[in-house]
Amino acid sequence: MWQNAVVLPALTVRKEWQFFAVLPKADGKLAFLWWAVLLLRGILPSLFAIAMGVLVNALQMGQPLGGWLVFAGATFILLQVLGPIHQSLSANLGDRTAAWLYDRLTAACVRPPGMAHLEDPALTSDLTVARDFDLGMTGPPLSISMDFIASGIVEMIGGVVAALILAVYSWWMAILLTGAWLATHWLLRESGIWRDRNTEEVRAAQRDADYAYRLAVDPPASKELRLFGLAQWTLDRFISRRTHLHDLQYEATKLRERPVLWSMLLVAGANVLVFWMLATAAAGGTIGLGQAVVYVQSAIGVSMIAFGGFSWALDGAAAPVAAVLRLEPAMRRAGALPSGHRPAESLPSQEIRFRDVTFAYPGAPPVLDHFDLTIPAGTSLAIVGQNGAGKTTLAKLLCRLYDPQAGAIEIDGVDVREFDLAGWRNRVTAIFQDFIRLELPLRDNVSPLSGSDDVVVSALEAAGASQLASLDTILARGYTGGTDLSGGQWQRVALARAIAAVSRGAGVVLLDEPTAQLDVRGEAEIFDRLLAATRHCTTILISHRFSTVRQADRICVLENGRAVELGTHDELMGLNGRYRTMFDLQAQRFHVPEEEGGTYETLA
Amino acid sequence: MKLSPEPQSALGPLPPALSSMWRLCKLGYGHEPGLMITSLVLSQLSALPDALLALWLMLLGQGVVQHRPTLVHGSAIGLGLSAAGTWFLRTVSTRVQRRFRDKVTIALESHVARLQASIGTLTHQEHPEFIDRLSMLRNQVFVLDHMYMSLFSTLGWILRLAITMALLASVHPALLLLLVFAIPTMWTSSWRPAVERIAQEKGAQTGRLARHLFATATTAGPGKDVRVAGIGDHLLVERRKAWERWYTPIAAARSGSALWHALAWAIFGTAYVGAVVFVTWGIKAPAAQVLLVLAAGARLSAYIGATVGEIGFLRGFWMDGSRRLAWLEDYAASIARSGDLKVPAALNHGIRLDGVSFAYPGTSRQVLQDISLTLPAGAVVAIVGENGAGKTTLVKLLSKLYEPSSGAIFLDETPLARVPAEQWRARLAGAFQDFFRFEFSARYTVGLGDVPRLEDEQPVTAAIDRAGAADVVARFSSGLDTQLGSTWPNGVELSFGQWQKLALARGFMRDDPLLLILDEPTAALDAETEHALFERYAAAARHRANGRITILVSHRFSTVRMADLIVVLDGSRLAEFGTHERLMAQRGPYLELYGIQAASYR
Repeated sequence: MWQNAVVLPALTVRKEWQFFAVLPKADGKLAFLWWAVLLLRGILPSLFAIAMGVLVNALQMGQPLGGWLVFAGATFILLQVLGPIHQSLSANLGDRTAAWLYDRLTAACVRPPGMAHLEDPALTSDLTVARDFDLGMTGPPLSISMDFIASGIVEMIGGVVAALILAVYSWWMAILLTGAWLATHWLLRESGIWRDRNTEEVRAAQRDADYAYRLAVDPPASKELRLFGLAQWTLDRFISRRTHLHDLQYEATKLRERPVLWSMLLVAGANVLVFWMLATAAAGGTIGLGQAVVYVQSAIGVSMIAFGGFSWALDGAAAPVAAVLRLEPAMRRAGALPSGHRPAESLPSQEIRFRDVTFAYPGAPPVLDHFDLTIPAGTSLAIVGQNGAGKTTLAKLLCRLYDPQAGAIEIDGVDVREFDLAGWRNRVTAIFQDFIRLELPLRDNVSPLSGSDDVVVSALEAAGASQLASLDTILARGYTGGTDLSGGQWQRVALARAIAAVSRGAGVVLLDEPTAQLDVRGEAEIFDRLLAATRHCTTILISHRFSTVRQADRICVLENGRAVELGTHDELMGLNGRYRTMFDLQAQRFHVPEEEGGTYETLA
Repeated sequence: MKLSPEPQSALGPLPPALSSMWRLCKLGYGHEPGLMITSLVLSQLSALPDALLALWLMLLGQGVVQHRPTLVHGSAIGLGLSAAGTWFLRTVSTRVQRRFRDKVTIALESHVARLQASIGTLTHQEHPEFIDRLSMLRNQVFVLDHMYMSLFSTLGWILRLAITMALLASVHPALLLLLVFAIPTMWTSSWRPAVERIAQEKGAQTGRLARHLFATATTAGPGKDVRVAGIGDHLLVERRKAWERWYTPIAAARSGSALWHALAWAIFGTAYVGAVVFVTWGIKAPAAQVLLVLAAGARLSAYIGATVGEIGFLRGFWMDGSRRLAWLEDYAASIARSGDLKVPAALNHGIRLDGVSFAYPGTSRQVLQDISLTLPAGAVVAIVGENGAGKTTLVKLLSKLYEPSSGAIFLDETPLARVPAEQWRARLAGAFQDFFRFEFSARYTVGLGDVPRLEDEQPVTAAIDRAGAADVVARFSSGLDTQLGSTWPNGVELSFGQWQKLALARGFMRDDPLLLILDEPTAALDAETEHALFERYAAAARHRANGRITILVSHRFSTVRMADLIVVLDGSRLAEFGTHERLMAQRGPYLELYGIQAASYR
C-alpha cells in the first residue's frame, strides 16, 4: 500500500514536473498561494533561529530587547499560524487538482466520436490508474497527499536555508553537512521507492487482489456470492495475491544493513566534526553566544534535508497526472472516426443499405462477412438470429460507433462516412440491451439534454410508464427521494427515451431486445404503442420474441455474418426455412386445444 | 421501492470511540504481536534525542557564558549525536512500522472483506444508509492501519511534550502555564474535524452523483448511448456541477477550520512571547536559561501542534474508521444468529410459506403481503406477475437473503429461520436476471457455481452442456482457460447473451440442489437455445429422489405453462395458483395475461 519513504529522485524525472505544472492549471490562485506559503514556511524557522541568537546576544550584552522581542514574537506567531492555513490550502488544492484531472479524463473519454479508445486493452492500465486514483485505493486521495507533499518540500527548503546561513560562517561546514545529509537519500535510494512495481507480475497480483476484494465487498456480486458460498474462496484468493504483492514489495524496498551503516557513520561523523569546530570557536571566543546559537541551530536545521524532499506521496500523486496526459492523445487517436460534411437532415428518404460490409472487432474473427441488406426508408425490419450472430454489431455500425473494415453503409446511396457525424447521430436513436441508466431524475433519463416536460410526459405515456414516478424523482436508491426501478420499469424508461428522441426528429430507430424484461401485458401493449409512435421512422428491431418480430414489415435472419433469409413473416413461414423452424419452436407451446383457443381470442 | 417520507433508521449509532480503538489494537496485536511491539518501542525511542536538543542548547549557552570549554564541547557533541540519532531512529522505526502496517493491512482488509461477504443477508448491500456507512470501509481500509501509526506517533509526541515541559519547569514552574494557552488549539482541533466530517457526509450524495456521471462517461458499456444520444459534453458539465456542489461546502468548512486554528495558535504564540518576556524581565534569568525557554518553547509549540494535529487526525479520520469497523463487527455478529436446526437431506412435502409478508428494511411499503402457499416437493413451480409484483423478492426470501418481516417459511417442518444460511444455500442453485459477470477464466466463471469442484473438468463441462453454452466455449481460443472480460490481459469480451448462458451454466453446477432458482435467466437467449434448455431441465428436474423444487420466474407463458404449479402474484398479494389448465379454467388474471401473449403467435 502506501510507502513511507522520503526520496529525492533525479530532478530530471518528468512525471513530478508534470504534476507541479498541472497545479496552476487546476486553480491558478490557489496554486500561487500554496507555493507562497510553502516558501515562507521553509524560511521562517531559520529566521526564528536568527531572532533567538540576536535576542540572547542582546541579553548577554545588556542591550535593549524590545525590538528584537517583537521580531522574534512575530516570526514565531507567523510560524504557528501558517501551518493550519497551509493545510487547508493543500486539501483544497488537492481536491481541485483531482477534479481538473477528472474533467480532462472525462473529456478525453467522451470527446472521441468512436468507441475503440474505451475498449483498447493497451489503454486499460492507464485508464484504471487515472480513473481510480482519488478513491484512496492505492494511496491517499490528493486532498490528503498534497499536505504530505508540502511537508516534504517545506523541510527541504528549511534545510537549504539553514545551510545557507551556516555558509555565512563557514562554507565548508555547510557543504559537508549538506553533502552528508544528501548522501542518505542516495545511500538509501534502493529502499526508498519501489521501482519495479510496474512489472507484469506485480500488476497482475494487484489486479487480481483488487478484483477479489471488490467481489467480496461490493453489491453487484452480492447475491451470487451468497448463493454459491463464494466468500471463503474469494477471500483466499485475495489474501494469497495480496501477500505475494507485499512480499515482492518488501524484498524490493527493505533496508539493507550496509547502506544504513554507511549513512549512519557519515552523518554522525560530519555532525560531530562540525559541532566540535563550532564548540571550539565558541569556547575560544571567536564567535559570541548569539552567533553560536544561530550557527548551531542552523547546523541542526540542515538535517531537514534528510527528511525533506519529494515525498512518497508525490509518486502516487504524479502517476495519475502522467496517465491522464498520456491518455489524452492516445484516446484521441484510438477513438477517432472521420466525419464528413454532408447534412443528414431528414435522411434516409429512400433506403439504408449495407453494401458488402465486413467487420471484425480487434483480434477476433469477422462478425459480419460480406454482408448485404437493404432497408427501405420508413419501414420496419426485424433481425433474428442466434447469440453472437452479429445483430447488435449491425446496430452499432449503423450508429457509426465503429466503421466497417470493408464495404460501406449507404444512406440514400451515399456512404454514411460522408455525412456530418453529429448530424447523422441526431437522426438515430437506439436502445441497446445494456442501455444507460442514469442516476438522475426521471426527466433527464427520458430526455437527457433538454426538452419540454410535454415531450417527456407524452413519451412516458407512450411507453406505458406515466405512473412510474414523478419527473423529479431520481432513479436510484441512495439519493434523497430516490427510487429503484425494476428491470422492466427501466426498459420502459429506455423506450420513452427513444420515443422522445423520435419526437425531436430522429428518423432511424434501433431496438435491441426492447421488451425482453417487460411482462406479457406490457410487451403486447408497448409494442403496439411503439410502432405507432415510430410509424414514419425506419425501425430496426432485434428480438428473440417472435410474437414481437412478426409485427415488423420485413424480417431478416442473420447467420454466420450474412443475411440468410429476408421477407415478410408470411413469406418466411412459406419458405419453410430457418425462420419457420425457430418460430415453430417458440410457438408450439401455445398450440392449445380448440376449446381453449376460443377463450382468449375474445380477450386479445 | 420508494422510501417512506420518514424512514425509520435501520442503523444503530456507531459504537464508542475508545472501545473501538481498543478492539482494533487487540486485532492488530493478535495478528502481528512482535512487529506491533517493536514499532511502538522504536517510535517512542525516536522521540528522545529530538526532545533533548533544547537541553544541549542550554548547556552550550552555560558553557560559553561560564567559559567552560568541556561543557561547550560536550554539549556540542550531544547536539551532533542528537541530530544523527534522530535520523537513524526515525529511519529504522519508519521501516519497521511500514512492515507492520503492510502485514496488518492484509489481515485487516481480509477481515473487513470477510465480515461483509459473510453477512448472510443483503440489507447492507442494498440499503442506502448502510451503503453510506460502509463505503469508507469498502474503499479505504487503509484508514484502519493508519490508526496504529497515528496512535504510536501520538504517544511519541506526548512523550516529547512531557520532556519539554519538564525542562521548562526547571527554569520556573509558572512556565507550565503555557500549556493552558494551548487549550484553544486543542479545542479547535477536536471541534473542526467534526465540522468538516459533517460537511463531507452531507456531500455524500452529490459526491456519489459526480462519481456515477464520471463512471458513465469513462466506461465502454454506457459509451454507446452517450454517443448516440450525444450527451458526452452534457455529462462533462453535469459532473463538474455535481462536483462543485460537493466541493463548495467542504472547502468552506476547511477554510473556516484554517481560520479558527490560526486564531488559536496566535493565542499560544502570544503567550509564548509573554513567557519569554517573563523570564527575561520578570525573573531576570541568565542568558542560558532564556535560551532554554526560547528553544524549548519553540519545540513545545511544534510538539503541541503535532500532538493536537495527530489527535485531530486520529479523531477525524482514523478513529472514525475503527468505529465503523466495530459497528460492522457488531452488525455481522447480530445477523449471524447461527441456526440450530439442520437442513433436511431431502424434501418430502415441500416448502411451505405461512403468512409471509415483507417490506425492505427502512421502508414501509409491503412488497409481499400475507403469502400462504406450499411448493410441493419434486415440482417445477412458475412464478408470474407483472413487474414489481414481488417475484424477485419472493426468491430472495426463499434463498434466505432476507428474513420475512412476518410469517415464516418451512422446509418440510423445519423453519427456514432456524437453519444456518450457508447450509441452506449450499443446497441451492440457480441463475438470476441480474447475474454477475465473473471475469475469471471460463472454467472459474462457471465452476464457481460449486466451489469444491471448481478445478474438475468434468462437472464444469457437464454444467456448460446443461445450459446449452457449449457453443460459447467452443468459440474460445484457449477453451475453458480463456480469460473473460476485455479489460484483462488476453481477455475476451462476451455479448450479453453469452454471459447469460455462462451464468446459467454456473447455476447448473451443483448436482444435488434442493431448490433450483431460475429468475428470468433466458431473457436474452434465442428461441432454439431457450427451447432446448427448458425441455432438458424440465425433464431432468421433476421427481428427483431428493424432492428438488425448481422455481422459474418468467414472463414467457410458453415456458410457464410447462410448470406443475403456477403462482400468480398481483400487487404484492397471491392472486391465484394451480396448474395451467386449472388457472385457464378459473378465468382469472392468469388467463388474461396468457391470452395476450398467445394471441400474438396465432
